[in-house]
Amino acid sequence: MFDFITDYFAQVGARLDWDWELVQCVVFPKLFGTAYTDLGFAAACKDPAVSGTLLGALGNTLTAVFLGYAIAMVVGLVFAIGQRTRSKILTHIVRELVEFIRSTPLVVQIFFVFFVGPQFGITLSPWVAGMTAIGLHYAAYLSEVYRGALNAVPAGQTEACIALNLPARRTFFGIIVPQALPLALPGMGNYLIGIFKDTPMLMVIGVAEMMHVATAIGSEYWRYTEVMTIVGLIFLTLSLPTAAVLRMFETFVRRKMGMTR
Amino acid sequence: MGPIVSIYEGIQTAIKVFLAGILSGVEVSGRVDSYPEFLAKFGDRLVDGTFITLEQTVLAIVVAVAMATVFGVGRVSNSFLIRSISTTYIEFFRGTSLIVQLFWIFYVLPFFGVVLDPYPAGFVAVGLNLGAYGAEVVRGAIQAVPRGQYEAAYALNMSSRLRMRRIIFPQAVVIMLPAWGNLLIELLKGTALVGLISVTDLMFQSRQVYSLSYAAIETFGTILIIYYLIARLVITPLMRFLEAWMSRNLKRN
Repeated sequence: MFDFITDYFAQVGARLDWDWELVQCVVFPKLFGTAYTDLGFAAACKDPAVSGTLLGALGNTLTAVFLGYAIAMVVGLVFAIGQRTRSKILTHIVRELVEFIRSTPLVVQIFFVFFVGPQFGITLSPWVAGMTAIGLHYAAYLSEVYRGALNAVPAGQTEACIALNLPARRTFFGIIVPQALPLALPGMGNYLIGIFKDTPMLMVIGVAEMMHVATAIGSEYWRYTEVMTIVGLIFLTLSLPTAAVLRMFETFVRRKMGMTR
Repeated sequence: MGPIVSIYEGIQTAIKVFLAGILSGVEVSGRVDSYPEFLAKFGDRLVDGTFITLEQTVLAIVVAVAMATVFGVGRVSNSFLIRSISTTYIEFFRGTSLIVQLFWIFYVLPFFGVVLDPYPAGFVAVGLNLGAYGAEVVRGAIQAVPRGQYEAAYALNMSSRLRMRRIIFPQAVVIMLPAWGNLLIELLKGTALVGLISVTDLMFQSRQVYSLSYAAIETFGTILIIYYLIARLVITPLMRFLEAWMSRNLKRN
């Protein structure tokens, strides 16, 4: 009666039989000239897949994350300060720019940055274009985080600084920012993970990050199951612990700053 | 369904005819020299793409709202099993990227005997991904409903299911709506990725148009603006209206 169920699993099992030799060949990067057989790997490994290896590409992904995040943190602060100046026009322009960046897809922005340059004679490499696009995209998000945190610092703090005749720069960087930082940390942590999960979009312009390499391997061997699943698992095993560590870091900073909760 | 489909197709045709009418004086040559010429040549494709993007968005919203409701409520269930299933779903889809999920559903699910065309694979992936984020929003909103409401329902001898349906959830909806506004914009942005598995949405069309015209700033500039307009002129006002309507409705009862 339940034959169809067992049949189904038998079929799926056969189709899901992983090609473990392929996995060995495409996951680990080759160690400086060591033959794979010396490491106990499958002798059948050719030169590790023409397209590269997944863990090798993970390095590129992480580089993209940190470069993009560094750009986003700095430009985001510029966006946030731009919305706090006394000039109404500047505030409006920055506000609209941030809204525009936030409500349009990152892939299209990547295309835009990558392809518009050559039209004006500026050719950007995929890396430069990708980092610019991701950096600006997340700068818009981070500026919202900064803005919320800065606005959450009680106005009395600024007033007290004025009463004490502190210069504006010292008020901002010495008094306001240190108090806003713990408030901004949760949002900043979320977007660090967000940027990590958005790096696969760089594949569309040919940055050799993990997803790009995975699809290349997939089409090279015509086997997608292994690589796609492994890439998914790598994302999970990196993003979940990172989220937990960031949460611990937040509580640590809050306690250090003498904030309750 | 018949009349709705024909009205829908009529709107598309009307927009194309309107576009053609405005641009009727524009001469179309081999190369693209001006923006009107670009529109005259490729406007139809962009209109088609916009409608596919809108369809994908609406279908993905349906999937996302359904998943978010089920697993958001499941997350606060009394049963350990339901709670852990919900948590697994949420953490899994929030922990990996949409692109990976999309490719996985498109390339790997066939091995499980589930073959999806690009079109359904696209909106299902986007819906499942955003549904996980939505489930967290639903959970937060349910937990934000004041404690007294639970106690009052308990005092009235309501079963926990009835309490959730009549008392807690309707109040949670009002709390969660502003967060959904942001999520829906994220969802709209997510649908741009379905072009990668060859759904002919706006992003896909833009790549085609670019490879035909080599007019980067016109192509990608136009579709960036289309996405922005959908977000600002359709989704945001709709959510504002829904918020006003819901809170008014809740007060009246």
